Amino acid sequence: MRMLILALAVASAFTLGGSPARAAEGVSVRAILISASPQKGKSDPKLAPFEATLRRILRFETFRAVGEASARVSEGGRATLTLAQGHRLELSGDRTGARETRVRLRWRQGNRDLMDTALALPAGRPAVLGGPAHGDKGDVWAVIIIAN
Amino acid sequence: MNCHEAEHLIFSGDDPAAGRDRSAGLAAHLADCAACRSRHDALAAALSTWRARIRSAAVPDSDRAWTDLRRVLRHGGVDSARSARVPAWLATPLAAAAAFACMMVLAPDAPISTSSPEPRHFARAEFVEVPSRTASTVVYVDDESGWLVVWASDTAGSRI
Repeated sequence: MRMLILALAVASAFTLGGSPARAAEGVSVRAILISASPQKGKSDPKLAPFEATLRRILRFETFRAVGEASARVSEGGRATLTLAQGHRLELSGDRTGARETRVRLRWRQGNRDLMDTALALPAGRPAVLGGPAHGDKGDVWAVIIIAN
Repeated sequence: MNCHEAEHLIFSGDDPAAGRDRSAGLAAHLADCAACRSRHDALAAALSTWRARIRSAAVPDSDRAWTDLRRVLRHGGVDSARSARVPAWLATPLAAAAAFACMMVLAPDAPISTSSPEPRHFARAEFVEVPSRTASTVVYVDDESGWLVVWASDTAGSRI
């Protein structure tokens, strides 16, 4: 019985805390910089897998992929994703596990801070950050972030 | 009406004090401004979900709860002492489950599903900061897709 309880405790600790091997090797974080526009038109084919969801949740009409980058982020490690138009994401891994990745994220354009946040991302489940306006037609920048 | 005034009205909800003219002004602004429309829709969706959950929340039967509590008190700690023991017939399957969990975690090449996460395991933002004092931030998870949306727009209608 004691062995059973010990085995269950060990299993629970590993399951809840995530795999040490996975934490060491890190997870892949992919970011896509997009420009969202209220003008009607044709969206970028590269964003086809995301377009329906983007249109529904962001209420913009067209979307254009401007830049994309990915990097591995390990627990306690740092990475910078350089996108386009001076945009970059500075990532630091808080915790990486099989179920979710917690990253601190700073979104900058040139020397300007756009957003500072901390996200917990389940594998394969996208998050979209956005809001900064650009141009004079109501366009905004947004970033799709996916951890795998 | 500008975005700042619109935001105030959006977060005021159905406030009769706002007046019919201002409600009409808000409607006109929402028709033209995608950012405010998105904020308005997100808030409306969140309120709708919250109201639905409140309506569907199960209210326990107080009479039955008292009856159950009396039964527990009458029997003292006998039942709980019994339930703390794991029956012998359950020990082997539990040990197997524990061993399987260890194997899944410790095996470095074990396939880990990344394309279909658990349905109820959503992304979340632990904090959001934007440099502009006039920027408003909306954070929500879309029920249908499970996407986390972190949106910060400047209420003055310019950049963050």
